[in-house]
Amino acid sequence: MSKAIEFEHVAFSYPDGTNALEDINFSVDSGECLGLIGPNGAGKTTLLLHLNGILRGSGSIRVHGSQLCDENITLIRKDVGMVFQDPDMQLFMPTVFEDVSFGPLHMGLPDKEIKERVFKALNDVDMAYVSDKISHHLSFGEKRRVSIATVLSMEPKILVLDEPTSNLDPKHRSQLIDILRSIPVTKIIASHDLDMISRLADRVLFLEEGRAAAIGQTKHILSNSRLFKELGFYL
Amino acid sequence: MHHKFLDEHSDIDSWLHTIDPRVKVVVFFSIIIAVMAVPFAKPLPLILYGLLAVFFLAASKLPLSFVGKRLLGILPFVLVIALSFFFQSPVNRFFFLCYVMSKAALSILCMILLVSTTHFVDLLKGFQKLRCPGLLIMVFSFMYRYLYLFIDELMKMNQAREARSVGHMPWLKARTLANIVGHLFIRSYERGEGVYLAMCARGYTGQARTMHEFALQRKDYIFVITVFLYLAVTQAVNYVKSY
Repeated sequence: MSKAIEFEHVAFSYPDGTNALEDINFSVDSGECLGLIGPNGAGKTTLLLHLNGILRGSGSIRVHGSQLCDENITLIRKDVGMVFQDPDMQLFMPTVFEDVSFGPLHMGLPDKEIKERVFKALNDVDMAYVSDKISHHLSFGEKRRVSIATVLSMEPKILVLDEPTSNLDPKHRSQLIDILRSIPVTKIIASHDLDMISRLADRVLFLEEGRAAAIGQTKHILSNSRLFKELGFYL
Repeated sequence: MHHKFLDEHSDIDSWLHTIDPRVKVVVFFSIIIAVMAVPFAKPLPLILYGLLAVFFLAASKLPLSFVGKRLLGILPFVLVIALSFFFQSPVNRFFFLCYVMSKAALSILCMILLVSTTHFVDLLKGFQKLRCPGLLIMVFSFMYRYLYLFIDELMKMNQAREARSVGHMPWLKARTLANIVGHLFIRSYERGEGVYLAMCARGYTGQARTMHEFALQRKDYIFVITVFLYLAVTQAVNYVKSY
């Protein structure tokens, strides 16, 4: 199976000197779902921001075999759809339609195809009825689903989600898990929601203070209570 | 929370609401320019332009109380500026004040009619279609998107302050308010950074792009031709009366 993502010796420090990532090595197969877990401040979001080149550290990152660099950053951003944790950050245009069409529009697609993609993406997350609404007037659960539509409209090969179920009520959380399960692309999901990770992820990467503390099959990692206790991440 | 003060009356069922935003922008800005161009001591054109504005006001079905409040909110600022010229005026000072104030009131009324009969989003699209710089349009669309969010954040912070405020200490209240404003500034800055990252992640490279979905209809052409004819006739009447 071909590799969707390959990290080799990736490290990153913020300008204030904080080492957010240290010597990260892992790969994700095409079509696989990788869960990213770890305590607050472990570097999960920082790692996600490396996937489409928003943050650049040292080491090598390859997306579908292409080295991530300035020359192919536009192509890689078409392939890697990133859904941020805060939907109010993801939804920055006045209406839902404009937000969902933002990505395809900046890919230079013709208007007809943009419209088709927007309505397909909104249908995929059961939100076609809000296309003309103002983003601010949506509920939190609706905003979260529309956030996912904003990247689905770009038809990414890799979907990256940061805490997709945080602040959602049980009903909307369950709906979101079903939607994510139905999307047949490579997925990388960072979350504290271990139940969701167990239901969606094929493998899990455990981050601890910027290092990859463990990686393996979801059931093996999540059932290893000793590992969790050693890392101070109690279940 | 739901706020709607910008588009409060944009959904009223009137023919003025259905006119293409681009046409409305051109027409109302033309009226303002025509009003500004009326020379001193020529009340007739101002009266004719006033009649036109009143006709639009009636056609728009906007509540008079709403328009009145908006007018009264802006006119005091105009009055302050007009008063600064009042004492320097070489002609009839009272007449000069009335002349400046009526010009300002007409212009403001045109702006209120334009903004209140068009959805803000459509207005921005209209401006963009009329070759207004894309970056400026994007800044205004962000303002529209995040204005409500900042009002929400301000309300939440105010509620948190109220919940922990015991006793009546005005000086402490003022200090806390200053802190809240500071926090709001930092949060807006951070949000700006975050939004930029989200835009980059979806292919933004510094060039603003939008989709245009407007199509001019027969009523738009009739509207723009009628108004321009009216403006031309008014100018002609004014010209004839001058000689």
